[in-house]
Amino acid sequence: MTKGSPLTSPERPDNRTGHTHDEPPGAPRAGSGSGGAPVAARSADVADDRRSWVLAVLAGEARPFAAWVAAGRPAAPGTPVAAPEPPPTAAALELVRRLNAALPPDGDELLATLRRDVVADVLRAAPGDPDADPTAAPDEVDASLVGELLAGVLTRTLALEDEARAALRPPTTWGSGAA
Amino acid sequence: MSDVVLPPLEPGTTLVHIGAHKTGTSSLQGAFHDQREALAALGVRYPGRDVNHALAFRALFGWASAETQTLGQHRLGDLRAALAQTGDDRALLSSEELTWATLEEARGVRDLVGPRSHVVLTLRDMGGFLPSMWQQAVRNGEPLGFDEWLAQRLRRPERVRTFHREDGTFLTHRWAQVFGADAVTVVVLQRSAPARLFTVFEQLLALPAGTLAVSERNRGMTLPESEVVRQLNTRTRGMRIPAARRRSLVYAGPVTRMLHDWQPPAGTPRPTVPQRHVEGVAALGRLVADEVRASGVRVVGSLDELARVPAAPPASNDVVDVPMDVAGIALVGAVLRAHEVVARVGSGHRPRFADVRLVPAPGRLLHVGPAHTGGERLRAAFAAAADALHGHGVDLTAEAPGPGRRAFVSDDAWALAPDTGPDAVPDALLDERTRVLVTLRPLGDLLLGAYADHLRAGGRRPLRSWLTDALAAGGPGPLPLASADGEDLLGAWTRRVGPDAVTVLVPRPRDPALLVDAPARMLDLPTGVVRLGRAHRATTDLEAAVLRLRHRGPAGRVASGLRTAELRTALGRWVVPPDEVPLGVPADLQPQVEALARLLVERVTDTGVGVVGRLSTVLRPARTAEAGDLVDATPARQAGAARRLRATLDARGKDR
Repeated sequence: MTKGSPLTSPERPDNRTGHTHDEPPGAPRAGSGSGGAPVAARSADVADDRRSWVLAVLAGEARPFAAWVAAGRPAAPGTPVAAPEPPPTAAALELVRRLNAALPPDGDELLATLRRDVVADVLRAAPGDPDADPTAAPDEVDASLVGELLAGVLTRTLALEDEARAALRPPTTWGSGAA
Repeated sequence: MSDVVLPPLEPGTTLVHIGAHKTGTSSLQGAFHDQREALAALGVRYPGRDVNHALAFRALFGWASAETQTLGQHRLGDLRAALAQTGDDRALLSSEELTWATLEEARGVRDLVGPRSHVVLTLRDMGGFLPSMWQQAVRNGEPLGFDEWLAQRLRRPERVRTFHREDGTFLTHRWAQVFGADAVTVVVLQRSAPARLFTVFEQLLALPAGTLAVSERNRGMTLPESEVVRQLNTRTRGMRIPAARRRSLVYAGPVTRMLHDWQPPAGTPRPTVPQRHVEGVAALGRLVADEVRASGVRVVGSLDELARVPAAPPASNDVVDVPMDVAGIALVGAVLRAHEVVARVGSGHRPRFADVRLVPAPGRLLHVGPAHTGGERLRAAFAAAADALHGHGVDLTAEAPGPGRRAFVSDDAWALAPDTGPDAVPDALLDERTRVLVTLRPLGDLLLGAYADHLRAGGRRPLRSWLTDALAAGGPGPLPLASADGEDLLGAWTRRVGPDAVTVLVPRPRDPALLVDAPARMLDLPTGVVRLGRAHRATTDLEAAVLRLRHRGPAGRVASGLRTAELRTALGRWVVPPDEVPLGVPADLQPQVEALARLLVERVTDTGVGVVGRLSTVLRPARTAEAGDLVDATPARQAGAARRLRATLDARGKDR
């Protein structure tokens, strides 16, 4: 199931994600203007905004596209990331955004590492259609992508846990209390 | 009202509820768990402290994992003790894992609960039971989708563990064979009569109708939730993740988050028997019903219910997309749980008993001191709990332990003394089932305590010279605490029993209870059975000075102005005035004390013995002596010390 409908999204006749309620109020939309050149310019602006928002979400932005635009397109709080080509699917980005929103803003380095690993998995496992709207925020997501991301978290957690234990225990003693 | 009327069980009967899984057991157990005290007032015991008795039964059957073995043994010991005290009260034990028991294991349950007992098995329609079993399996790592999983079970129903026939018998036959058919009741749950489960237990246990309140604890996963976890399982199936780690990261992470944080909207699909397996499931229900009938047990409800299947089965349970809400919750749950687990390890958090080694049963734990490492407190605490210890299979004796029992014996003198040290302990005490416990504490405190012993035993050597000699000898006894080139404490004990049998216990100052909790755990005792008593205070500088003065002879005793009884009273004070400082190590000797402490730590590490607590605690410096300290002062100043000491006694007398 997806939000919106192709009927309400004239940008691309084959765009299944369509117009979403995340789109900013009064946001310029392709084809809505009266002249060719201004329309093209506005369309380019929207595309730039979407690309910027994708980068922001990958770097830690928690706001949906509309709220982010309304807030003046702020820079993301985390480390800037390189522009992915193609961008991840809208569903994968929505998962990352929800994760960003759920993590404490003053989280520690470990939390940041775990988040970055999820982003890396998203970039690897969920390449989107370059022509699709990555801000669409669909209501559903492919279960196999979720399983892939969860498996990535589990695998890294096991490794991080083992590393942390190894760092605590000198290999020369099975006991723990060596000074 | 109820469609069931059952006579109550005889007073003093133990009711064993064996499940099955996914038949309302969690709800029932929750109701009993939540109302323990109220039910006890009505003459019904639900022993223990957990929601159910699975841990105790796992221990009884030897099913316990390494992580739960010790805890399970505790629970089993508690259960035995509780059952021995029920008198005419009725008791309930409940664990759905009992349906997995073999004939021999069912006999073990009968031995545990005795002849005044009854068994209840709950069953439900296979069309509801099998999907519930599958989603439970998914939580535990099952990678197959429901339809494929179900097809496998229908080909071989015994693969549903509840219906296993390892010993050639079916579930109800096994329990009927062991307890007698007239002591087994099968309750068939019916969707149209959801209260039946609680009614049956209220009636059998003679509880007033309506006593048991429904306790919903175990919402099953919907199909989207199950699919998210199953997809994870398919990607990690080859990793052989230990069950405990999987539970810690998956069950306590995304699964729990989804079950708590997501409210499935109406219409959310649940795993349901698909059309192509409807007949197979109904046939399995009929088979189970026939088996129950043939076993001759009492049946409450209609066995025909077992063959009931969904009226409108789906074509399949395949899922491609899942709601974003549930996916987001699962991902957040996984990351936050990962952070929690890794951060806890990284912060150096270690379970308190991480390196405790269990004493075998039968077996013996030998605490050998040295003196001033808590031995007196240890012995006092265990002696005070002797009766309770006996009930938990531990005897305070040097005699050989009986079958299945453990013995604990403690003597500080075994550590370092010439005539009773390691080589004087008889071989009979040190067989392969003996474990040796060496307690340690900050070395400076240990040495000052030994010096106080010297004075209390009539010695009068100055602290400085006594300490200098002790440091040169590697410790206060004939056997060095630590030696770089000769045999020492750890060397002697590892030579006698091997490093694997020796544990060094060093409680941190902020965790003094470890002194008794660690040996209690080694002896497989529940926490709390042995309680650490009050600590003895250290001998003060003032007391040491007076002791030295008096030990100079009759002149010294006169100069002290204290009668022997008064001195005894002074030394027996529980508390001392704040300005009365403990003995201190002379500043110039502190480096030597530290060097010996470091050598001791090295020796513990090098010998490879087990360590419980924090070994670096041995390095904590004792108080440094100051210029005004009296123990090594002139006799005249020591006489002044005696007057001060007498004054404290006078003040105490006036206070009284």
